[in-house]
Amino acid sequence: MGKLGKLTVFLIPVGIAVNIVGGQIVILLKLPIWLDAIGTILIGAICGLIPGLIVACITQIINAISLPTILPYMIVGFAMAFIASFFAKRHFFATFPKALLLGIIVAVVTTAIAVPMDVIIFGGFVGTGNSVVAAGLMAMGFSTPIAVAISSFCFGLVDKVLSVLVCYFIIKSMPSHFLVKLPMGDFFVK
Amino acid sequence: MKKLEWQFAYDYLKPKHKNNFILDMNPLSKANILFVTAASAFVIFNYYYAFALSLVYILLAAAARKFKGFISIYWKIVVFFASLLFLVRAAFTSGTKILFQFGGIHVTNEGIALGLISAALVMEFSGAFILFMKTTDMSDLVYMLEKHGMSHIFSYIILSAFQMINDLGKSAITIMDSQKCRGIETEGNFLQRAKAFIPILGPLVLSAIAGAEEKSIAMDARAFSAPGRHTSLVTLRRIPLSEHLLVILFDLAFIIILAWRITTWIK
Repeated sequence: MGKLGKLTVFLIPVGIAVNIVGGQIVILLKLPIWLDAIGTILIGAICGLIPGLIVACITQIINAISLPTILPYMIVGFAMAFIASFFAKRHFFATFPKALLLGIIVAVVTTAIAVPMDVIIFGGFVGTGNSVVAAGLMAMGFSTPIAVAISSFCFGLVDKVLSVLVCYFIIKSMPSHFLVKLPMGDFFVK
Repeated sequence: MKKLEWQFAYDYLKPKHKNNFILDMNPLSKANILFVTAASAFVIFNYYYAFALSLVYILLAAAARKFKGFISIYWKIVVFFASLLFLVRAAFTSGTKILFQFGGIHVTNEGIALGLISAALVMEFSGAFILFMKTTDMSDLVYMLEKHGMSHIFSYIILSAFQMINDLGKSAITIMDSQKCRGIETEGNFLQRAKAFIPILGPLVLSAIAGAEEKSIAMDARAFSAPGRHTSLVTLRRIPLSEHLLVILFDLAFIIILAWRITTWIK
């Protein structure tokens, strides 16, 4: 099993599936957000950085089968895995207010990465709901980067805060005897 | 009857042929060729060439008898993504010669050119990627990568991920129905639907994670983490010389195009 823990190897596919199925549930419930990075944040938090990166990478490749243009956004997934593992070590999943703050941090960082990419690669157009908002803002006379940044951040804030909170509740409901076996378990067990 | 059973076993000793040049092609050769052709459009940067390539990919998908699966994804990209991308680029790119103006929208020659090339590149890149995914068997691909030194753990992770998505998708529906019986609203206004998310995802994730623990024990009992070389039931087709030559030809062509582009830049 080398560098990855024994349990981690079996949790990575779960993380990938949670990302994709989470996105599918959102579509089933007809919600106007994504929530398709819960697995990345969760695995980044409980298994560490490398497993989180693997989850982000494979998720994006599988998602790209239906929309290849999202491949460059793999970097955003990497950033989320990094933030999740970095802040998990600092006990940010311990209390609700901290998890809320972490959600805002994730939203700011992901917007800061995604917006320049939107503008450079696709001229501010990403083919999602917030592109409509962005196009509306652009027609009102806002410049492209600002319009995309405003719309992305509004969508991202709700999305990422909810994603982190879902992870917080999931980790909270994990039994201690299971958390102990995880690579990052020391940071969660009281 | 006995003969038939043996035949089934012997079939595993031979590589599986699909009797189609594109489907039988080695996954790595295919990836290599599609990558250089997709990248060549970015180097040449001409929308006629990129559109032509997109058409070639569609024809290749048809030749591989995967036209239906390919086009079912591809048309969405063309209609929703490429055409809208073209419109946005055309409407908001500043240029010298304005053809049409309306509020913040101004259509220029530069905008139309930029829109065309953006849309064409998105189309051809997407075409190459979908073609690869639709004509390649994942298990063949990971086995090939394993032969090239990738760890069998990664093969497991990739194949298991695909399996997991199916399994969790099914259990998500089951959990959703169960929660409906308990009185959780999955219809109604936005807030009611949003409230249903956690009761569905929570049990799903927790049960999947518990399953992972059991799986690790079960796999260890089957020597998954045992040291030494792993054997495989599947045998891969030997790569014919013609295929090797084809890959080299494409790579050379790409290098030549790249060199030509760099020299024009320097000038």
